[in-house]
Order: sequence, then structure tokens, then C-alpha cells
Amino acid sequence: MLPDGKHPPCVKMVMSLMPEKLLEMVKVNKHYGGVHALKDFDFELFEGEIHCLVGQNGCGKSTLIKIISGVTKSDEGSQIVMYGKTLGNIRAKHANDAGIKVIYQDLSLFPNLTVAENIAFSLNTEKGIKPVNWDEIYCVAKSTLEKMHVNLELGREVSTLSIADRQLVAIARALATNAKLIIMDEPTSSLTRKEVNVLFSIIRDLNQKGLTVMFVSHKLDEIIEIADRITVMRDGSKIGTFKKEDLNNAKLTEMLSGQSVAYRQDFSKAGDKVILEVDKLSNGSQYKDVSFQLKEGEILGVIGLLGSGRTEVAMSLFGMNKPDSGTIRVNGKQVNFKNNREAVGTGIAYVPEDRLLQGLVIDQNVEDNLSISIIDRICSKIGLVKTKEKRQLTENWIKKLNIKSALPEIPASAMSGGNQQKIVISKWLATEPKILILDQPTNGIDIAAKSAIYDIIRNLVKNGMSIILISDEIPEVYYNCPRAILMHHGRVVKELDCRTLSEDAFEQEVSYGQ
Amino acid sequence: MANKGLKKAFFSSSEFYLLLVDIALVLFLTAFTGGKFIQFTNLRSLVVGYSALGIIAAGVLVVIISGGIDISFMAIATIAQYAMAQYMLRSGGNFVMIILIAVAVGSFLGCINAVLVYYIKAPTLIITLATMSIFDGILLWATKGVKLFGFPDWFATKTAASIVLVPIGFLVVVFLITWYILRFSKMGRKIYAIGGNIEAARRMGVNILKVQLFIYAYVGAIAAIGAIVQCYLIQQVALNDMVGNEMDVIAMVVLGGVALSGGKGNASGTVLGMLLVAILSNGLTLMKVSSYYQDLVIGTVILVSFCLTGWKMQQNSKKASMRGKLEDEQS
Repeated sequence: MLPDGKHPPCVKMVMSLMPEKLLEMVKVNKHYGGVHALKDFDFELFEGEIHCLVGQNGCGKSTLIKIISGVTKSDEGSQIVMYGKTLGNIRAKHANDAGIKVIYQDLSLFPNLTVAENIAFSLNTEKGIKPVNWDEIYCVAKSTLEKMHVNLELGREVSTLSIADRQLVAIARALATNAKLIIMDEPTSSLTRKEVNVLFSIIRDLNQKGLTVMFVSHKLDEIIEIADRITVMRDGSKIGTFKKEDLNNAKLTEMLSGQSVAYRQDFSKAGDKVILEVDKLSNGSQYKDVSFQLKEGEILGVIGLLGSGRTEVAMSLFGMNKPDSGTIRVNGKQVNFKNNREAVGTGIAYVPEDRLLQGLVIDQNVEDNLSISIIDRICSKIGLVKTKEKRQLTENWIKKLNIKSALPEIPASAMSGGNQQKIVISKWLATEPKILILDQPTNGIDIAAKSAIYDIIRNLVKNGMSIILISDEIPEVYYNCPRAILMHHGRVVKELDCRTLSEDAFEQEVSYGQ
Repeated sequence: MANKGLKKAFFSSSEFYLLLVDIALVLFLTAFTGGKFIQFTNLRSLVVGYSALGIIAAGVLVVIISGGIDISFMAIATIAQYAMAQYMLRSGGNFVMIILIAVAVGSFLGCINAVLVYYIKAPTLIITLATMSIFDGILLWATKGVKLFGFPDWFATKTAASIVLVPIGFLVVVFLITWYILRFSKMGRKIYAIGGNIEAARRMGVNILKVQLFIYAYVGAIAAIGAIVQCYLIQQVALNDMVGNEMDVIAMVVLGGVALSGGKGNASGTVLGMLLVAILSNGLTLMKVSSYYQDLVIGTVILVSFCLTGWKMQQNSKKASMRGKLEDEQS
């Protein structure tokens, strides 16, 4: 805009074609103690765009979100322009009044309250002593959901909803408070592909109606699918902002990690001995007639969506989910696990999908987390833990798995997702298993950590361990597993040979099977 | 449609089962004692024995919904009792004044709890355990253990009707107010929100300190009202009349379907839980069960009811996951 606020007619026409800037940041810096979290960061956000923010863990994405939403102040000298108004800093109230709403990864919903009350909760935080008007709450919730073309039972308690539906409630809540910009932090990390499609179509629809969306994610293909523009961050600096058309998965990967191509097929030769044989395993409505073999030194991929029965089968192999019928043979001997201690005793280890819930005691330190699975083995005769051995064991694994910046004393909660996953893996490796079941081992961790985990897996099979790799990411299975089985609705649909198929053919087979 | 939903919700709610249990218990006790249970003298002793605890349960309900717990409420109640009794003995006083004094003292002490809970951020059990000891200690030091009695006539005169109507009147009013606050005030909804997810509440702009001040002041105030009723019924104030009954009150609330993890529960459930504890204890006495075994029976009832709730919740979540599967198949 010109300083006097008047435009010649021709300029005005151009202006109306150019979208208005919602937010502009110039040379924004942020220090946390000695850590330089944002370095001279320039950022522009246009009204009505879908802008994706990508970067590895700890690259400053969350700091940026916090500054935009006014939770954290940027350093002195930073310049921020919001709707044409220059601000030194955004305050939480500014952000809120301007309609900037953040949907955090944990969604911040009230699980004990109904869908309606969650959506319209801002009515409860209004000033004044007017009594709660339940009709108004239901009315606001209903009209908001209608605006999204979403059908949810208003009176249902949020704790009974699926993660995907909770996500929709969180979006509806933001919309109900007159959102102009919705910032979503990793919204797809626990959704199935189908649910992601629903979410994306809703986001696109809202975007058409004028909502600006900022989207933070790890999953590059999803980003390319949804974004208009993409800002890539690394180590607190901006690498660049790009139009979607100018990017592809490989380019993005390279920019993110500073190194190219995380994926390569590198299969070591499996042995001939069948170490695990599953025959016609069935369990109620969870899965039916599942049969497969696992050879010594082999990585077997199990590909299937959330709810395909993949995790339930794994739990049965680990003795935590008793099957109704069928047999499991380990080394030719039939086993009938009553609990997972027996499974561990037979040499099976299971690294769960949800490392935060099932895999780690998040507030305890690295050492205690690592040693818990073999605590019996490092105890003296009268049941006291030998601390020296425990420390040695921990340091040994930290070195072996190259867990960066890990000291035995720091709590697991202070580590990045990738390092947490390495700790979970080493915890189970410490039991010296023969068969390792990995359930979504790279869910929610960045590319560098991903390829580090792939290297670990490959090394393990070279040393004779057998691995079952459960995943719904096609490249993960294709590049790591010579052989993969596809599960759908509780059944093994087919077996795929990744050595002979091209990646495209593999992908086609998988989507056809589902 | 909403009505139908409500009806359905009622019949599958824990309150419905609790109501059935309460009714069954009344019928059983009436039959077993040959009608003695529903005689006026027994009902009167039921009211005298449990109305004060029942009133206080309404306050404890609120703090448990918020995800916290307060165990200092009986100590607070006793301090409020001494304050108002001293006032009556010195200047005669009147009905309105004693309520004002007791409630002021109770809510002030509650505010101390709230401030500590907010700033120390330690578990509320530990904090109120500490304040309970401190309040008890102050009481002992200030009163030297002296009992107070001989109150002015307007307070000491009891009739057969007033001894039942006064406590029941207070009980009804306190529960109606609590029900209204929880269901229809913004403060009440914020209390549920804090109990469900305190971090989310903070992000939504809920002033946590304000809400906690309200919660703990409310417990203190309600405890003080319970203390007045107690004092009216037994016409004396002593150190150990109320202290020591904390767990009975918490049992009433918990049996009423309130999750100790917070966020769940309502006033009607607590009324039913209160009735269950009161009827059960009274019935056991009537049946001449030695008081040694009474605690045992009540403990068992609590355990069994928890097992049932846990089992029901498991069933519900199984149903929910089956439904999810079905929807998936259909789509």
C-alpha cells in the first residue's frame, strides 16, 4: 500500500489479485538461554493460503508457532507485522483477537465433556455471571459442525471418540471462536490414510471459504498434497519458502536433512531356517486365518492400515493377546504363551507403536528405562540392583545405537522422538531377542533419525536376528523388507516380493489390496 | 429427541443403579428389622447422625470433580465451629451472623489451601494433609482442648420437628446450590474443564487460580455450614467431633460415581452415595452388627462397587471399539 493510502486504479486492480498479508515477520530472533532457536527468521503468511512448515525435530517450528500465537516473546529487535499493524511482539490477546488459533498436537480437548461443550467452550469463558445456556452451546456446536459438513453426535463424551473425530472437534472449536488462521501442529501423526483424506478435504473446504491454514508435519507426501506454499526450516533458520509446484518429495528430503536420499534397498541374505511359523491364527473379530513364516536373519514387512489387525497379531505373538485358534511355532516348537514374560523367555521382543504410552516410562531417566526389561539379570542374589553394571549396560547401548546427546541421567521426556525410539529399541535389544517385532518404529520422527533406525535394523539382521517390521508407510517397508505381507480387515491379503517389484508396482499392489 | 436420549442415558447411568441399590437396601432393612427402620425415631437418628457429613460431601464433590482432593475440610469445619460458638457465647448472636462468621472463616481457610495448591503445584493430597495438620495444631493450641457448650436459647431450643427439618433444609439447599453451580454456572463448567484437562483449560484462557480459589473456598464454606448443623444437633463444640470422619465423606462422594481422577460426577450421584453410606451404617447398627464389623462391610461395598464400575467401563469401551470396526467395514 502507498503511504497516503490512495491507489491509482490500475494498481488497485493488481492489489485485488494479490492476496493480503496476514502476517509478516522480519529478522525474528529467539534465544532460550544459550540456544539460538530462531535465527533472523523472515516469514510471510498470506490470507487464504495453506502454508506448510517443515523441518526436523528441534528446528524451531514450535518456537515459531509459540511466537505467532503469543505464548512466547521473540527477542528485542524482531519485527512482526500483523494485518498491516507493526508490533514488536505478539501478545496472546492480540493473537486471539486476530483469530489466530493453534491446534496443538495433544488437541487440548476436555475428554470428560461432550462434543458440544468442547466446541462451544469459549462461551463458558466469557465474562459475566450469566448462567450457562445449554441450548446456545448445542446450537453453536451444531452450526459449526454443519459449516464443516461433519456429522458428530453432539452429546457424546469426547473420550469415546476416535483420534480422528477428536481432531475434528478441535478444528470445530477453533472455528467456533471465529478463527481466521488455524495453526495445526502435526495433525496427521496418529491418523490412518483414510482419516487423513477426510481431514484434508475439510481443510480444503474451509480454505475455500477464506480460512488461512498453517500446517506443521513430518510427512512429506502429505505436505505436498495439501500445501499452497511450503517453508522449510533447519536449525532455526529458514532454508526457503517454495510454491508446491516447485517441490517434490526428494527435493524436500534433501533440503530438510542437508543430505539426499534416505532410502535405498540393501537386503542382506536371509538364512534358510524358519524361526517363526504362524499357521491359521485367528482371534475373534480381530484377525482371521493369519499364516506366515519368518526366516532367520530376515526382515518381514507387515503392511496394513491402523485397524487392519496388524498390531493385534503382533500382540498375540508377544503373548499379550491370546488367540482363539491356530498355532505359533518358534524354532519348530509349538508355543502357547500365557503372558509376555514367556514370550521374552523364548526370545521374542516387541517394540510398541506408541512409545509414549507403552514403551517408555517418560519421567524416568534413560538408564532406568533401558534396564527395566532385564532388571532381573543385573540384580545381585538378594535382589538389589548392581548399579555399576546398569550404568555400563546403558553406556554400551548409547554408544552402540549412537543415541546422540544422551546421558544415562537425563529423563526420557527431555529427548527427541527419534532418540526416544532408539531407547525403546535398545531396551528390548538388551533382552537379546532372536525375533524382534517393530510396530511403526519411525512414527513421528524425522528423516535423519529414521535412516539411523533403518541402519540399526539392517545391522541386527546381519548378525542373525529376525525382524518383523509393521508399518503403513510404503517406502519404509519397500526399502527395508525383501518380503512383505499385506493385511486388511484382519486377514493376510497377499505376500509381496520387494526384490522383484518396482516401488510403483509395490504401491499399486498395496493400494489395490486395501 | 433430546428427551429420549436423556431417558436412555439415565437408565444406563451409574445413578440409576445406585438408586436401585438404595431402594433395595431400604426395603431389605425394613423387612429385616420388622419395620423398625422406617420408624420415626430411627429416621431421626439417621438424620442426626449423617446430615452434617452429607452437607460437607457436597463441597468435597466439587473439589474432586476438579481433579483435586481436600482432606483438611474437617479441620476447617472445626475451626469455623469454634469461631461461631465463641461468638455466640460472648454476644448471643443471631442466625444470620453465625452463618456469616462460619462461612467467612471456612472460605478464608479454603483460600489458603487454594493459594498453596496453585503455587506449590504439589499433589493436593499432600498440601491439604499438611494444612490439615497445621489447622489441627492451631486449634489445639488456641482452644487447649476445651469443649464449648451452653449456647443461647435461640440456638439451644430444639423441637421434634426442628431437629429433623433444620438439617434436612440445609442439606437440600446446599445440594441445590451445588447442583446449580456445577450445571449452570460458568464457574461450574470451568471446574469440570480443569478436572478433565487442566492444561487445555489454561490454553482456553481459564484463570486457574481464580477457579481454584473458588473450589477450595467453597469446600471450606460448605464444611462450615456442615459444622453449624452438627453443632446445632449435638449442642457442643469439641475438637474430635468432626475430625476423623474425612474418609466417610469421601466414601459418600466416591460411591456417588465421582472419579477421583477428576472431571466426572454430579450432585445427584453424591446424594445417592450419601444415602447409601448413611442407610448402610444405620442399618448395620439396627441389625445389631458390632461396630467392629461396620467398617469392614462399608469397605467391602466400596470395593465391590468399584469392581462393578470398572467392569462396566470395560464393557462400554469394548462396545465402542466394536462399533468403530463396524463403521469401518461399512464405509
